[in-house]
Amino acid sequence: MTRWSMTALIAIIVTGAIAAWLLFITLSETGQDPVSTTSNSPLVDDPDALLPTIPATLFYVAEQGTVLVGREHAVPEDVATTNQARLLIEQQLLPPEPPLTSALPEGTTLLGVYISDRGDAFVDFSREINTEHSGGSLEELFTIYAIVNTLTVNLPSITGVQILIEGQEVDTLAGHIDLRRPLAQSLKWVEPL
Amino acid sequence: MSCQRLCVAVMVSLFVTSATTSHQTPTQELTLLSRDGTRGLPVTTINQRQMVSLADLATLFNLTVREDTLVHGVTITYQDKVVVLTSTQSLTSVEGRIISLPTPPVQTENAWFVPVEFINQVLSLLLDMPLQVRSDSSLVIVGDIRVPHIEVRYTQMDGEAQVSFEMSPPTLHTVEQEAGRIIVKFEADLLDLALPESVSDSLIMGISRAEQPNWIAVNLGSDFASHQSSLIGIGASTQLVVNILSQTAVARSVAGASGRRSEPQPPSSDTRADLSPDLDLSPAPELRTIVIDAGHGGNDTGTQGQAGLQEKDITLQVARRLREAIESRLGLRVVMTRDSDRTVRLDERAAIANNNKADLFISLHINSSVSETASGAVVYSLSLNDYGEETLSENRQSHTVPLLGGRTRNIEIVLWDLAQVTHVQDSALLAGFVDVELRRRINMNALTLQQAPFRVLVGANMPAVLVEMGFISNARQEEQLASLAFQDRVVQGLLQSVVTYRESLRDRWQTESSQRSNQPPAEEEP
Repeated sequence: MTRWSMTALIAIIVTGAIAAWLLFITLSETGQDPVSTTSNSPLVDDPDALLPTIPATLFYVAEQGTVLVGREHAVPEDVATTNQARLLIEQQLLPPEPPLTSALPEGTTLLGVYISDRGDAFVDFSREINTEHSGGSLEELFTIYAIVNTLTVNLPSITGVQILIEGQEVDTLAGHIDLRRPLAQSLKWVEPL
Repeated sequence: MSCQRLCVAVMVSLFVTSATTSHQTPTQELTLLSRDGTRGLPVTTINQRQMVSLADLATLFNLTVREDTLVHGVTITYQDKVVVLTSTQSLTSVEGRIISLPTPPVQTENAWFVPVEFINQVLSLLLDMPLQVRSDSSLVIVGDIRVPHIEVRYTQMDGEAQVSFEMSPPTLHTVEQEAGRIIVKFEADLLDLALPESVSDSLIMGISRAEQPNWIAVNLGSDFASHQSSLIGIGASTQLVVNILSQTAVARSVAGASGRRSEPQPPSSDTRADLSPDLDLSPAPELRTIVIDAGHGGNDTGTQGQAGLQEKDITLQVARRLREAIESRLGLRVVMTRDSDRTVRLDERAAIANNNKADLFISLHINSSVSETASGAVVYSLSLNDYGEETLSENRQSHTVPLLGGRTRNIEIVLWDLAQVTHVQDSALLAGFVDVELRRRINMNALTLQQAPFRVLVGANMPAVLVEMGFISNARQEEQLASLAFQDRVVQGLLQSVVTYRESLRDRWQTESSQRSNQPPAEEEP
């Protein structure tokens, strides 16, 4: 190798090293990773944003504690009534904005929703709906009618709602309200708009 | 019926011109009804909201109102209690309770105004006195006077007329016929009355207030022959329906009945002479056995207060005191669903009442709420409307059963575990009486007189109510519920409502008995 070609090779290596160093510095300063820039796009990473929603009225205990109030929420849409009922109840289980409080006991989870041909919905909850309940009849009424009204108000094809616990039919939630049969919508517990 | 507690006050309308500014429009006037008489309270519309002047309220209720320029508000004092209102916010605190008014107070050139809701939300707490605003009738009911809302409707068709009296709350009453009119007398101090616009025909010449403030007169026309009354409807509103028959309608009915008999009867010139009175052998209804159901018990503690008070203990204490009062003062038999701290299933409670052929079922409970300020008693009865369509249809089945001789008969089947459905009207009436009597003695929650599908009521085969005596989640109420003085007031209220219910049964039986003796004999079933 000639002296000239040795010099040229060293110059190319040094230039390449400087270029690589400059590229590294630039990327470090902006803090971006070329790969993650693409994957951070909300269009790809948040598939829910693409899903249509429906405006639904959900029911919570008002601040003064003696009435339910209806609040509108955007709930993901599903053409199947059973799935829509499940999505509504899952949204109903989330804590509301203060000062409203949830009518459903903390820790309660939804196990399943079934709808009969006659329009009765059977909503199956975990045992916390019973074990974590305060035991007062008014709060029991609010728990039950938050569920009954959420389904019957938003899904008119549902005419009655029966609450199950861990797949079993129950007499009452906390010793007061008859749960042996599907209950119809009752807005008398809801504050008029 | 006794009308001894009648208030001398007569409802009159006073029209007082209210002070006006450029922002306000005088609209109407509220009439304050109290045991002391009737007073007017001008209402002014400010920013499209009905408001009343604090100066007027101060005069009527002995309040001291002082303007506080520092906070741009007013201080309202009654005895040692103070309420502060500021023009920038609609929240205020009364006796430790936060009250949210629909709008802040408004200061005009010469006065301070508060929304009408201030009267029942704030003033009633400040004065510790029931104040009920009825916007539809422009009334404010002050104190514990009984002013039921009575809406009278009139319909007439084919020689028969129907006058209905919708009562809210259900109110004890009698229907009497005298000298060309029917008088309906309500057990009330005054009536909040809505009459039909104009009624005048050959059957009824008019419907009006009568000489007493709790009476309504139906003035009868020349064609009147007879009347019969019945109680229909359920819930907070119950209807008294008076059917009025013309002479032609009675003649037609008698002629029709005669025509269907095997031996034709010659027509009579006097239709009423044909109406041979039946011998009424049905016994007068009487209360004999009352079941008292102390809620929860044993492993089921019910709800619990912050100081540790348990629902099951208070319900048992009150149940025992109520038993003692009913046995010693009314001489009735009392059966308790539990008389110790033991677990009793809900089915068993209704079964105890049914097996003892009880005439009334009173279930005692205590409420709780997420809010520590919720207070007051709530009275419940059962309504079938709370159940879904399937339950309603399965309970209305009728079956055709064969009889001897080849005939058949339709029998309505009522499911045994829904036995209460045949008593919902009487239960609602009893609940109305309990509400009235408790209201005289203890604080009631605005929710009171509700229907809900209570499990313990639905299987009871007799009039049944459930009373939530107060909120154990409220520290002050927890203390009250444990006190003998409060429990005594509840017991007195329940005792009196049993007495009132017993009187209503007797009144109804007497009315029905006299009607039966005035009616044509019923056609025999084929």
